Amino acid sequence: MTQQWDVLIAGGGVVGASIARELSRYDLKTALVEANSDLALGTSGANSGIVHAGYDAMPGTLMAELNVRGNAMYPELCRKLEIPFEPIGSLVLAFDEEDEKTIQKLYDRGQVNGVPELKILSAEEVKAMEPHVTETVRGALYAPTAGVVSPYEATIAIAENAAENGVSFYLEHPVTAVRKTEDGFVVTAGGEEFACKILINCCGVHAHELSQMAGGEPFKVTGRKGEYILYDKNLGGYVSHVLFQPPSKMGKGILVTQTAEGNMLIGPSSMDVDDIDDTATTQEGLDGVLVTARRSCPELPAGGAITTFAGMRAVIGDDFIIRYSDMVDGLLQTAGICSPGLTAAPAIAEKVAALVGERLTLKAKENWKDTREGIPPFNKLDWDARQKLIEQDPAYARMVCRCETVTEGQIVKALHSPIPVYTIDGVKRRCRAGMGRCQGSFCTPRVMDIIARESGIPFAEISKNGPDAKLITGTLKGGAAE
Amino acid sequence: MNRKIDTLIVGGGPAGLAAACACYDGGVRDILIVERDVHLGGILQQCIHNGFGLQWFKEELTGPEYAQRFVDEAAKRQIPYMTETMVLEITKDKKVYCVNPEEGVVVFECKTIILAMGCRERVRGNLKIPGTRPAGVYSAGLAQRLVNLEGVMPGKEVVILGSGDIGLIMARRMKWEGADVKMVCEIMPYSSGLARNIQQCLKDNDIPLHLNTTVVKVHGKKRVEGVTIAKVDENRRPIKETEQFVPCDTLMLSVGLLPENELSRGMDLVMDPVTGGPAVDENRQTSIPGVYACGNVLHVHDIVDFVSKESMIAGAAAAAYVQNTPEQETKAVTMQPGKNVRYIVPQRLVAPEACSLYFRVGSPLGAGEIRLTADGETLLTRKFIRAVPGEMEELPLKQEIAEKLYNAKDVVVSAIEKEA
Repeated sequence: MTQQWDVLIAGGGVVGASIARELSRYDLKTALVEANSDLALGTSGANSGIVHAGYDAMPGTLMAELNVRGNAMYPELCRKLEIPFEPIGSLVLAFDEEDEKTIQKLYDRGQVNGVPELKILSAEEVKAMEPHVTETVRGALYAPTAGVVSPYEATIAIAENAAENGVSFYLEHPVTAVRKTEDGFVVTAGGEEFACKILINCCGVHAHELSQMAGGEPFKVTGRKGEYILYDKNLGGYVSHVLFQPPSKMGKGILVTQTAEGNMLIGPSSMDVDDIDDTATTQEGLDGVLVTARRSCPELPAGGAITTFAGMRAVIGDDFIIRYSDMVDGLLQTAGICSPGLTAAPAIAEKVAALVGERLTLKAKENWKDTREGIPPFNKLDWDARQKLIEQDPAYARMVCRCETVTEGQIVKALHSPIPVYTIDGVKRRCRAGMGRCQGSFCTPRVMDIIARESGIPFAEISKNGPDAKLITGTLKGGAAE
Repeated sequence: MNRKIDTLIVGGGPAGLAAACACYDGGVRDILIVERDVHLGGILQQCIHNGFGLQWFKEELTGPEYAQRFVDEAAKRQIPYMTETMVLEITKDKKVYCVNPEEGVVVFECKTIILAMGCRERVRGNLKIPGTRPAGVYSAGLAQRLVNLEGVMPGKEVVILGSGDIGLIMARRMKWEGADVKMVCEIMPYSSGLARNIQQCLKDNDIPLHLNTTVVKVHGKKRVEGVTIAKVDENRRPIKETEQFVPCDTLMLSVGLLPENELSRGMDLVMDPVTGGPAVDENRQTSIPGVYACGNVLHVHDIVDFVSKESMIAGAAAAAYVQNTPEQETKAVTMQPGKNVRYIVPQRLVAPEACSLYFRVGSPLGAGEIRLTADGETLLTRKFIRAVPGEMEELPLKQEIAEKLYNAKDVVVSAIEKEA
């Protein structure tokens, strides 16, 4: 049976989720389809997690406008949705005379873009702020409004808030066909048909594929791979701001930062690749990240890494594409959303909602809820708050993930969230079990037990991140244990 | 409300249990073992193979049997314990913060604390092995738990990286359960596992061991589809021309253990960067008086019998502290690792009394001698036929030697190979 929708969003990254939340303010029937087993498994799940200040983009571009607007929206958004966000500020380091000119240019550009509180710092000021920074630093552009956010937690939180406000989410629903109808589209996703008046393309690195299926413009997407090294929280305070190097054509260079959760992160490399799904890390890429990061912090340790990962950025030309297709009626394109897409996402959503409003009536809901209750971050609570939580539910005293101090209570809550995902990675991305220094070596079987109990999925069927990623291949010769 | 206690033991594995018994036998009655798991016994519970206890009990036991002996000893003494209780913080003034489902947040004010938290495995991310991030990459300990405690198979076609003992044991275990264990790769020119495990686990089961070989890439989008292995040069850098794809659905890692000292770091204990554990004296006392450490949290042991022995020392010392807070020695002599010696535990001596030094060599050595020198004078030598990093060496010091050491400034232990 074909379901009828006003708006169908294809793609559950941060852009799709933000649009879903923005549209959930209005009396519209909105659904979101996502190909993967969870939200934010593409570009939104594997990036630097920076809320950029907005001095990078050329004045007059959508990137500049939406970056600055998005940056201003983040603190309140994160407070309301309980998203880990730290406004730690950023520094673009200058290592030579050329770089000093570059940061001056960025400063001037920032002024035009309307970035508040920018300041050029002297070498002494930079060294006082960041003791591990290179002796050869000559100054830096300081942007106090930059911050760090957990990009996948942000996407999930925004999506959950949208779900609580009535948007329907369909995971593991890859779009396989799009048929144009008189007043919209019929989209086949995950074997089901979704009829909609407006189809919004939020497919990230696959945006060109959806566009083609729908009869829209043939984008040329360049996949730009970025590799990262994530360090133990022991090194979390190694730097206390986002440390950028002067940008080049290929991006904003290698950064050294603290993440919103207090790890140290370095990266990304920047390599254009043919296969847009190739998110494998490489020896050359990881070596390059470390060598280049040491331009900023020469003593940066090689040891202490807990994981490495790579993300893919979708690059189409020099600016974001956010507009209705010229070729097919009712297809709303958001494409080429590379950096600063994470920062811009809430502002992109506002812009998209306005575009939707050109065609459909936007009647504000009376009972729209702008807050979302997160999972209590046990490791960040004080002793009194912990005691209160345990009194409500003793499961909050049962430690499952010893590295990140994640309790059974948090895992159960994650499994009963508005968009539950019954996978090891789904739990990990919602409450950080398995995200720490042992990377799940101790807690994986416990988490599997809890998933099995709460979801009814048999233990041996539980996967890392989807149907083809099972952890168990069979039972012992003597048969399964109970 | 805070509870006062004489001796609190963090961890109910073999180290904590032995320390508790020795502490009790030293006369302390107000003891508590705090264990995060639902059972006492620690990681031994999943080590169902035999070979435990040859030194301590002079018989061959499985891991759970060895643990049970000490659980029984603790029970005989009616030593109290709390399971499902996680210690989250220890302060410098010996307050221990725990959470427990029955009581919530519990705070203990302790006269003495014995740290016995054990160790954890190094993981893929520590080595930064490139490639994709599919299901099917397991630490050997996680795989062991899945097989031995959950009764499930984590894979069918297995490549193991690292020839540490857990890796060797799991190679055999997986083979016996019908898996195709393709190979064990070891980046070093020698295995860090016990010689008996190389024989019994690999050779007896026709599992090849590839030395000077490592995994340079993981393949597979969802589940592991294979790994690329390569020979390494003398600097342990992979040699591109030797790369070879090995199809498999599982990569198991046995690439070393790390003492789990987040609590110790939180209380600013002085640490030994080589062992990864606190620096201790011969009583296993750390840099904070009344705080002791023993077992794998102090340094990784190859056999549990040594853990029991070491923990008895810590337990007895804690008992002495409780009953008669010893004056803290101001004089301490540092044990310096010399040629071919990686580290020495204890790191310092604070009394001129008989004790043993434990150490590991840095690389495999042929016949030679261990040499203990004080201010340049050789005090003690002991011959060995071979010495390997995987097997801990013990050097007992008699009273008269300990006295000489105690009065020296510069004490060095070296392992010297005989000239060929």
